[in-house]
Amino acid sequence: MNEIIKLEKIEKHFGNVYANKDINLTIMRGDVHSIVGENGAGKSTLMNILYGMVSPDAGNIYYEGKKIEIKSPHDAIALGIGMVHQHFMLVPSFTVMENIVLGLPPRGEKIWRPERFRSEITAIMNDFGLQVDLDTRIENLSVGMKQRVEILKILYRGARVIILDEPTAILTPQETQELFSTIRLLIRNDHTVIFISHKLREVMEISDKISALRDGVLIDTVKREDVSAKDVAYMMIGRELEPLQRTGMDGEKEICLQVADLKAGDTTHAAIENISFCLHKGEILGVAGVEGNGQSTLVDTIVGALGTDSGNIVFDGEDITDCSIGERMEKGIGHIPEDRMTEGLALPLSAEKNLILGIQRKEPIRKKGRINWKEAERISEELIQAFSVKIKSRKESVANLSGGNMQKIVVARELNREPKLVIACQPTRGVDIGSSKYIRECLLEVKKKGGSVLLVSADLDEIQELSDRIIVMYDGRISGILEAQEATEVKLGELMFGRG
Amino acid sequence: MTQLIISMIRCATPILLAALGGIICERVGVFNIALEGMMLFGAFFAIYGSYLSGSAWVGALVAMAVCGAVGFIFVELVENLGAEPTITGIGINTLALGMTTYLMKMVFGEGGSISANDRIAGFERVEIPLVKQIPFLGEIFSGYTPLVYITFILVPVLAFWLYRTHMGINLRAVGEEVHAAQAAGLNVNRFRVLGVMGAGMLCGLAGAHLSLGYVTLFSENMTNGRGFFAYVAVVFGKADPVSVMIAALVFGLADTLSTKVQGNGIPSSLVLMLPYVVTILALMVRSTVAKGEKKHFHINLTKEAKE
Repeated sequence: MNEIIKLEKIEKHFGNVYANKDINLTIMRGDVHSIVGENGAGKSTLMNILYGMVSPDAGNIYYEGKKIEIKSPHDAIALGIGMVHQHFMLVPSFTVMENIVLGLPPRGEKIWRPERFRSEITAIMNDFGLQVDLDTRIENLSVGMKQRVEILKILYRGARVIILDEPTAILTPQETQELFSTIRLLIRNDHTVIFISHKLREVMEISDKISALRDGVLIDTVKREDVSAKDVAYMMIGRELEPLQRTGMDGEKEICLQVADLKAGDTTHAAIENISFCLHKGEILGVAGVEGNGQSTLVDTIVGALGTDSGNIVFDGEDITDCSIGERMEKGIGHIPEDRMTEGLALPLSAEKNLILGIQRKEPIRKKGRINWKEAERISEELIQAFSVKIKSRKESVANLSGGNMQKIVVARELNREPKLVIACQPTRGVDIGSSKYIRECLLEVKKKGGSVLLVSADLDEIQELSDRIIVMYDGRISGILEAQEATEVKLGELMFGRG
Repeated sequence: MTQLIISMIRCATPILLAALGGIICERVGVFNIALEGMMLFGAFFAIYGSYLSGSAWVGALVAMAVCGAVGFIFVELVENLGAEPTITGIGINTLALGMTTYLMKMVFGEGGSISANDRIAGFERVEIPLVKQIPFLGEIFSGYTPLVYITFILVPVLAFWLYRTHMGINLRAVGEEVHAAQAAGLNVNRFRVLGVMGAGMLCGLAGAHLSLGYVTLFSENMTNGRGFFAYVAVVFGKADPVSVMIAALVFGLADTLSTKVQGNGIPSSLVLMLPYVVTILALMVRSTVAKGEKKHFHINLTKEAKE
């Protein structure tokens, strides 16, 4: 085995903040080398440097022993370095084949004849077990298939080193296993894989080597055999992580939310149909499923952002099907939206203003028709303290905060209203491990106090860790409701695909 | 009946030409509401070019050149200087209205409209030999000005170019999923600049058809909303050349009817509303059909603002 890529003293800073500091990293040919670290640890910056999207301030890159400069992704591809981004770079209405050959030199022809490429692509598909129907349009493919197309795309361009940026974040457990077998085939065919992730279980399963980054510094590179998952977690966050304390449900089973035969959907919402379930007081109900199977539609109908076609929603004994968003909030529904940047926060406004949003029209914030800023200060300072939000002052605009701290502001605001029902959508997406754990604890706290949580998440670990019962959605319908004990990963995965 | 069809095709031509330009803009992902303004510029400069040279063809070329330049200014403002496309488009439309009226006074010393000038040459009608003699069809297919034929030939040409050539495929990728296009190494900016300039030229040609086609005159606000109809046709036809052509023909029919039905006892103000009513109906039908179907391309303003 020999080294294929060597990074030497790589340094990159944005403003006064070091994204990467004095990073030395060697990648060996034929390895699956995982790069782990929390958000903001510098993983993406490092990979973007390697892929030519960001230029380093200092340091050298060697490829097969030769010192090189990578100025653009084009250079990287020419060297044989390919990257599969978290967001797919595919044209939805084009076929798989069209996407694979898009942008390649037309080989002297002006007329589009993708057929010429078919045999070459088929050969690659067979070599790596990446079967995809070349004539299907991308928009009709599942996420896992789209990822395959991305991998095919870079393989077709001759990539020998493949960077996968958080590839499993959007996959079902089965799809993850398929990806892993692809990775193993790649390695067998003398390719090298750089695997970026923060899912310890997966990292431990697939890696040969593991490098951990924290605050822009490379903490260590270790061989997988030599360490345990706990050690890797320690490398990533610099301290031990206690497991969550979960409590079971109490004996009483009063209903908090009842959804009956719900049907909804419009141009921007995937259609849902035949949705019936109930959520008890003191219960966390998980909603699992591959994204885009109607979860957001369901959430929007419950919070009141989308009307229903038929069916009704009963909250705390009251039919709220025709209530406005404001009325529902008033009755005690809290909402942690999926996208904190656009739905959760008013980005340019200060943390203080964001924290009092929703209660600004009520005592004690409202005083003689005006806002009582003293009270706003008290409440916001209290919440910033309680949720240990890292912020310079309450007056700072939330746009400057990291994802984890932004999310804490959303959670703090919603829980401060002491809702009877919290609808939490992807509450820890893109949030670092420490804050994730804190947010999850908050949700468990809601439950302990007798509140209910509807937890919609693409992260199966999170769903399994928190939920008392789990609903799985597939193609706009509920494909199964499971008790937490019986919800194995395999069972969930099957339901997520509509089988089972 | 034949008269109605002939008139429909004539009226549809400028709308279709501008709409073909609109298709290109939509396909490269530039929201261009300035079709109207560019067409108006085209109508004026076609007259001006013809006035200076005595040739309708030179007039059309001048119109294309000027509108290509306007397209360049528009796309530079929007793409490279970060201007808001809707505001910029409205700006161009307003500018076109004011500037052509002003130039008309400056150059020709007349307000309102210019016509009956011996030096302005319009397009001659083309009689196609043989075809002309076929009963009924001959009447429908023969006897238009050259721009009409060019327009309808451009429809399959554009369709072939968009769907069957490397450049067309790349261009569609740019409009539909810009990140994918960038990742594939395409020069997005170049596609957009050239695309919108091309659209400008088509609008210039559309304007030339208005002012030099069947009448030889220019009047204030001569386009009278045709550029907006063109945009609606693009949306209605989902930026597919053949569907857009059908939509343009519907507008052409509405336009024709609004002039033909006048004087039949129906109040003229009601009849003149026809094209606009068709527009609204078209958009309603379109959005009903679109419900639940996947969108391939669409310039989503809010999405762009987020980026």
